[in-house]
Amino acid sequence: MASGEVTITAIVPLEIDAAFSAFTTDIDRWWVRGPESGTVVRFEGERLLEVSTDGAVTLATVTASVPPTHIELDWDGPHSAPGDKVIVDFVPDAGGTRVTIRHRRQGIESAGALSAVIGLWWGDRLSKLQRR
Amino acid sequence: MTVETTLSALADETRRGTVEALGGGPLSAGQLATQLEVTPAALSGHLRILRDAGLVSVALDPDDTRVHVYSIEPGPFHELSDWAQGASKFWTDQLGAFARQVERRGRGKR
Repeated sequence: MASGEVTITAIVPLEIDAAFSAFTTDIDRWWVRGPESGTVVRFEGERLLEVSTDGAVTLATVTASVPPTHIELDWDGPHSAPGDKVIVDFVPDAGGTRVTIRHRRQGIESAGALSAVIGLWWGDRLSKLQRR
Repeated sequence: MTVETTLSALADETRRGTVEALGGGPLSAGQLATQLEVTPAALSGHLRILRDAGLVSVALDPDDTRVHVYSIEPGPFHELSDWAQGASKFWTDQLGAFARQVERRGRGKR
């Protein structure tokens, strides 16, 4: 895991331009959403919105977009806290395009703290420490 | 205490080493200083930060009340772990759905 981030990677069998387009333009086709049915998820201007008949919820604000390689978001969606960033990178790969999502929490990136904590505590030690 | 507080307190190698050492059980400040190869004075500031963040607690050693022993407070670590696990699952689900959509689209074009 990269220092201090939650990092998820997948390789999709598309050229990088098509992968970027499928991720952004076609996001409503694949985005996993909450139990409320009938919502639409789309990028609109600098925002990623989940739109329902009750209105729109801002999931994220785009702070950097470099097609077809990089998107950076201020993340306000699930599992967010103020200052959270989500960074999506697209890199050509033998199998198509490697897509990497990094969810970075404020205070993590400077010292690899999350990596250290996970390394220390996701294993046996955490399970041995009873919740109080 | 928040996840951010926990992370901020752990943004230091000595403090992470302290937490790791205490993972093996309670230790006195002297034992910690020896184990981490730092001076007691230097360790004191780090222990205060860890205590203020709620990551460690201090109590009198029941076998020698002249000595204070430090212990891990597991709550903040569980909170941090819960966030990391939740975020990991969320993004794994999202990226998995994206990959499946790409595969479906590819099959549709064949």
